[in-house]
Amino acid sequence: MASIARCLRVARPSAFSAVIKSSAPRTIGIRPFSVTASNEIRKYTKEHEWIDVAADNKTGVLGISEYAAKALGDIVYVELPEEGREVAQGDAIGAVESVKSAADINAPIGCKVTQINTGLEEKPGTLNQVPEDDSHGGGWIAKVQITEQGLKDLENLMDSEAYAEFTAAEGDH
Amino acid sequence: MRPSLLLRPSIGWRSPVPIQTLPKRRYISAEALNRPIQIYRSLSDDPYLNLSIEHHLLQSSNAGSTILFIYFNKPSIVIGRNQNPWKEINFARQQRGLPTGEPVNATQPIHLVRRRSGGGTVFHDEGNANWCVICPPPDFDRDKHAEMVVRALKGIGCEGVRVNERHDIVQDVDPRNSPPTFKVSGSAYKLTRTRSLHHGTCLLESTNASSISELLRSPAEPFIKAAGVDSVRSPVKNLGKTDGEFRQAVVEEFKKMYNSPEINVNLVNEQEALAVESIRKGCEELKSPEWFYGQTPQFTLSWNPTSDDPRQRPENVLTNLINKDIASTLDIKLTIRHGNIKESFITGLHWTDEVAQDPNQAVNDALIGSPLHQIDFLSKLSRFCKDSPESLRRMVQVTDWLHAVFGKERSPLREKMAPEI
Repeated sequence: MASIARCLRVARPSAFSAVIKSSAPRTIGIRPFSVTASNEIRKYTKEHEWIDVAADNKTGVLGISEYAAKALGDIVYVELPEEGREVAQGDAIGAVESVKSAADINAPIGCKVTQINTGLEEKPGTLNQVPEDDSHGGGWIAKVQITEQGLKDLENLMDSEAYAEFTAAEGDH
Repeated sequence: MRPSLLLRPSIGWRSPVPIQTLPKRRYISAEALNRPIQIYRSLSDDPYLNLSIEHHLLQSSNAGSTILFIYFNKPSIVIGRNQNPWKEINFARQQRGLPTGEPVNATQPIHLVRRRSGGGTVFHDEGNANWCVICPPPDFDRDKHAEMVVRALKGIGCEGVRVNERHDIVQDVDPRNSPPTFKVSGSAYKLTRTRSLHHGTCLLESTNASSISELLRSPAEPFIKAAGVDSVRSPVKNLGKTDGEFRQAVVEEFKKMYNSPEINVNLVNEQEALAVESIRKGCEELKSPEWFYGQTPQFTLSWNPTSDDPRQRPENVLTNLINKDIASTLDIKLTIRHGNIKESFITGLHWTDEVAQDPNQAVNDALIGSPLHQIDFLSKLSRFCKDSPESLRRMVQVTDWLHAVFGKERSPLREKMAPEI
């Protein structure tokens, strides 16, 4: 999602920096809706996807970050991944449409899609409201099985602190 | 100096420095795709090919490069990636084609295309230019290249053109005019992990401008409730410039913007483009019914108002296919996912004794999983129809309506079964 997160920077610098300075650093890392939070690790990509990895390292839940969702603007449609599909890190697994833009959602790590959040088809706005919520009714996009390669891919992802720094720096230049 | 050097073709300006000959005339070569600034123009008017060349430029060019691509298409209706064709297109009108002018009654087809970028439905023809700029994500901004086209248009004498809040190019005419502003160019975007694409139309001298509104007004729209993206209707207007004037002005403005006065325009012909495997595959994908119909976001079709879609159904060309006495007893509801029927519910037909116990199960078994663009409703349902003239009349009218709503020809069985209805 790298490209969309940057969309507003040039067009509306004030709105964009407001996003970064106020809500983004405060909310990232705090997940009041997630019941299994203590057992999971959340990691982020530079392309603004997140993945929660279960304690057993076998399964995960993924979505797009709050930073990306805000930069996208009003999301009008979410094209969900295909269940059962196995993908490599960086592969396009779906897309979101906002402001006439079809933006790819990429796989943060190698994985196999086991379940998709069909609620997003009816209510794409959920992705603007609670993009990092992995519970029922949240804006998570897919549940996945992590492949062997996927476990290795995790190593080059950022934790929430590093991601907050990364997005703050990205918004500054 | 190497022997055998060749200049690349260009519009107007030619490079004083010869460029090394390539084994074939491959102007979308790997070498060309690696240059920091690139300009291409398609010599084809095939919409599927041109969109696939564009997609190839998006996917295969150097991630740091900036590219201008200009092309024109023969008459086509181009819907956005996440749109519903049945809601956007007047299929009955589309199937009649457009006059060619000569001979008097000759017509040409109107092609149906779903593009890979977002946004709404547009009409393309030889008088409507397409321009596209591909750039690295950090340089992306929804307006900057529309502004570039505005500068180009002003340079060739188009007054009152500007980019509006929807990132489209509009032209302000006399403020006393109603409307005082017309759309002349629509924008859409495709954003990938490594690249950003902005493309737009530009109405120059389309002879079909008066048909656009009718073509893009579907009589089925009042019966369809769909996820996905709706088009925003705008009054449109030709700028009255030739394709040559437009091309040259945009190319010059792009060169100025990227400080590259010495860049040549690479001309891409059909044969050369089709020699590239990913372009050929892209073309096949865009032409496939799985892409055009199957990519449609889930939707429901219902004859009557429902809790999800309480709009009053209008009397129109479609409802007139069903007689009043039948209309009041009917209920039809279909759910379509990925272009296939997922659920169905039809009441008001007269069923055979065999299925009268649970007609819904029988109808579901017959319809579910069928691709909408292929299904013949009459052949699927007629075997459940009670053997009486009144029952047949109902069956024929309901299936006629279903075919018309989905822009399909009448069932071939119809003339045989009920020529008099």
